[in-house]
Amino acid sequence: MTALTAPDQKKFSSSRPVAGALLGKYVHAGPTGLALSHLMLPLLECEVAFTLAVDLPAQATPYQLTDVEAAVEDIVAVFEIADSRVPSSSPDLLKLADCMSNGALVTGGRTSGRKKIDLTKIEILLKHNGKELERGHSSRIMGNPWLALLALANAQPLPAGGLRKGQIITTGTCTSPVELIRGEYVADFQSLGTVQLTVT
Amino acid sequence: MTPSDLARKLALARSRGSIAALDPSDTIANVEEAYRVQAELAALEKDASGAGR
Repeated sequence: MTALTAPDQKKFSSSRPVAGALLGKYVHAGPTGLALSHLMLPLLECEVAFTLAVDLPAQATPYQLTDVEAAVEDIVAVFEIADSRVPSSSPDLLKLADCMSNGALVTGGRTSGRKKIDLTKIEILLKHNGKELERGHSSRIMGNPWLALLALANAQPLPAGGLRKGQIITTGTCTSPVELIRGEYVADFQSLGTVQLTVT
Repeated sequence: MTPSDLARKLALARSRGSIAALDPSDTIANVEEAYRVQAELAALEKDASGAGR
């Protein structure tokens, strides 16, 4: 999801956040591998994602934070690989049509009991071949990624009829995007665990 | 250009690992139209996945 702020929403002529669909064939459980030959100009981003235990359909009154907390099954550390099938100079709406430039999503380990983790305080360390590459923080997402999920639930942007049970909702990058090259990537999300990806 | 036409071009580019061959008429008027393309693309990708299994 993107366009969480009014200035960014103007780029899409929208008054709400917008979202690109994560198509199933591009979502991978980590540790996994990706081949650069299937990508064009990929960038790697470290993000906090949620999985939904129940649907969050459109409703007359806005969702509250407690509503979306109750709907979440798990919180997952992920890599989003941004890539694009349209030229980089394309209008934002065209990039949105291309699933907001999603190239792949790699999820970290799935466990239970993480819903109580304070998502305002997660420090992220990204390494490439064992060397520090980037640092980030979960608070880069509206101060708290839960607020991004709430905004998306209330925006109801997706064409499939709202947010659905089993979907993964990723909330935007907590690190500066880095060019994806060959090698081993590991991101430590502290209490949220790690994400691992091998690029060949 | 219809959302279906644009979705087909994007799906083809994804299958080839290339930039889509777009025409000047391949424009998106608004967010709703972008979501229609996403929906068409999702259907095409789902069909392609099924065919590969």
